[in-house]
Amino acid sequence: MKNPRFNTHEVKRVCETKLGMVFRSGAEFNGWFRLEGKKVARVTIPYGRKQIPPKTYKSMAKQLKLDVNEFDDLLACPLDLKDYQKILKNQLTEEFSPDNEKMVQLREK
Amino acid sequence: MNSPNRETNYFAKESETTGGRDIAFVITSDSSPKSAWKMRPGIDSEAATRPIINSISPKESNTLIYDVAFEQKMAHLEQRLEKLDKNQFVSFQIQRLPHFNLSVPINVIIDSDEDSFLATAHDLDLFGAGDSPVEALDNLKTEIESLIRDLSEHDELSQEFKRIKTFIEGCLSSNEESTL
Repeated sequence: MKNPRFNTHEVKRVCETKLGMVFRSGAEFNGWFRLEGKKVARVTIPYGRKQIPPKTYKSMAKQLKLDVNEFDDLLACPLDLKDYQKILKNQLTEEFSPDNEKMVQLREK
Repeated sequence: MNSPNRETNYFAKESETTGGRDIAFVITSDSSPKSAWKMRPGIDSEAATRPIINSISPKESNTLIYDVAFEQKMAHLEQRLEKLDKNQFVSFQIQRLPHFNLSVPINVIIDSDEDSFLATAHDLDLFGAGDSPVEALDNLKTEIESLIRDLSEHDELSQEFKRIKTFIEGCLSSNEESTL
């Protein structure tokens, strides 16, 4: 884990520029990530922490449905929006496979 | 611990000058005391080595006798306590939010995170960070309220967030269910 390199501002900036997330400020910054129009991940970025402590960093990764190494990659560059979408789709297979999407819609009706 | 006798190197009495909160340690190389150290219970190890009294008669002490290695043992114990503090977590239940009443409490784990603290509600995948456990918990409460408001917007949600929305609806008092 390389997290001492990253601070809250960098994480916020990467989420905004790479993932197109829009943050709203409250007690902390909150942003949603939408996949095919659905809100699928909500991340919290604490204010004013120069270097993110490890457990907070892990919690932020978990909110984005990434493991710590994937989160490192997202922040350090190799992981781009398409890779992130692919990871989410793999994790949410049931919800985002074309066949199951119809099933979910039928179930909801 | 040794029994009281003249050969014992260390003995201590509760300090009368500090209302009994501190302990004065008196070192003797023979039967007469040489100097005393002030020590706060817990973590003030620097104070433990600071002489405050230069001479105390054994008769003035309350004859709580410690063995020679007492100071070393205390230092070791303090180190262990410090480590224990850093690895400890506390489970807690939020019974009420600043602007919402809960009929079912929300489980929270408060954990240290290097020099700060992290309060996590695993059921909601939410956390609050702060410099103290109270600040972390307050931030988590604000986060939960923020999530409640977010989920009340009529956006399409993933299955996971639909489950979280149902969970929160179940936690809110009946008169506030209409919020979501």
